Amino acid sequence: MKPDWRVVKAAVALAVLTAAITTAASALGRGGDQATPTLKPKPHVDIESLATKPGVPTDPKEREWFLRKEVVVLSANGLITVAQAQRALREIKRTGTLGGDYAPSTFSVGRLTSLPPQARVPAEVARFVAHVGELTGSAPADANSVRLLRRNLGKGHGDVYGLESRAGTPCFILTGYGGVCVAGGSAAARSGLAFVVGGGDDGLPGVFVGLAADDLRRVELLIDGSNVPVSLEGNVAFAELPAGARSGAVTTRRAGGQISSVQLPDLKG
Amino acid sequence: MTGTRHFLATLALFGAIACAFASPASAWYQRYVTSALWYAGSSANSAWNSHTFNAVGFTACCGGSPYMGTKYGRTDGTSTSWMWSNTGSIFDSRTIAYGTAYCGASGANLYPVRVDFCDTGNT
Repeated sequence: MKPDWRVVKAAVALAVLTAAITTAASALGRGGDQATPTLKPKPHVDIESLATKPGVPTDPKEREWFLRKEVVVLSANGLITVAQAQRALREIKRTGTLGGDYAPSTFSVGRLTSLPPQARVPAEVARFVAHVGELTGSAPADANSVRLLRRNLGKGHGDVYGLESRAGTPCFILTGYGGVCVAGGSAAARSGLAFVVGGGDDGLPGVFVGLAADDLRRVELLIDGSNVPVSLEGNVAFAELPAGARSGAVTTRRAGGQISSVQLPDLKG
Repeated sequence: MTGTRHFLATLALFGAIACAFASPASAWYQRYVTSALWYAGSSANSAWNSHTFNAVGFTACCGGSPYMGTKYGRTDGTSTSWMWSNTGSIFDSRTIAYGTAYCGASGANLYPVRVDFCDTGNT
């Protein structure tokens, strides 16, 4: 049975409206002694991976209907935004699936080979390089392949160094905080942005810092409902988190038009 | 005789300098988690010591895009903020003079995550 597109849209709108009314009614009914209600962290929903979860029908029509239903339910429960739901529904309508029209097998960072290697690096970067082999399940990384990608970021005045592991996967570290390597098939490989988030300590704010693939065009960071500007330069995306940040989401856009959105973890946890 | 005393005094001086600069727990390493399947909110911590890194390798074995995080705990019960990643690895380069290293799965993960290892140390 082919679902009516207008009905699906109407269901999303109705669910959002119901959630808003419920929230407002709840707020009006509360006593004055509950100034700071407990916020339950939202689960992370990687919308693109819905098509790969167990139980997805193999029949194209059934699959399309299944994915639409999943998106509507996630939206109705407030687990994804209306914009995310609309984007996903458009993709399902266009392709019959989610994430299926794009094969992001590459996470290329040309500057990891074109920039001059660093003769000397800080001790924490050297420790990171020594662990890259373990982190990527490959041979130890070449200590002479480290590149300086960006300098003097944020209140911590951190520098971002990058290198390629022996497995060919890009890795980066922001001094004073930490770093990651990109695993094939991960959300980072799909979105074109490998990031760490959080890590504030000793008066320094938490940060959002990521290594951006060459074809990454835009990064949007939403923290507690507000847009936080992200500086995307030299294959590095960087932003400081506002004090008291609780939750958020990241949306990326690659040159091919691929848009990815992921929820951030509970930043107060 | 004077030469011997001078030699011993020099030896003692170097020994004292070495002791003064040596860390109480230099060059130690611990793998405090190995091959585990973790559901949302699971965490583990290392032995108490000084730390110069806290590293995690993990795999989204069962779907979704799960987050793993790292932090350090102090003796007064406080801790640093969690640092999170969903890339399959995380290397926390913050340091702590004395404390315990944590690795944990985000409480909001929808799917279990396979933790390959959580490593810490002072190397």
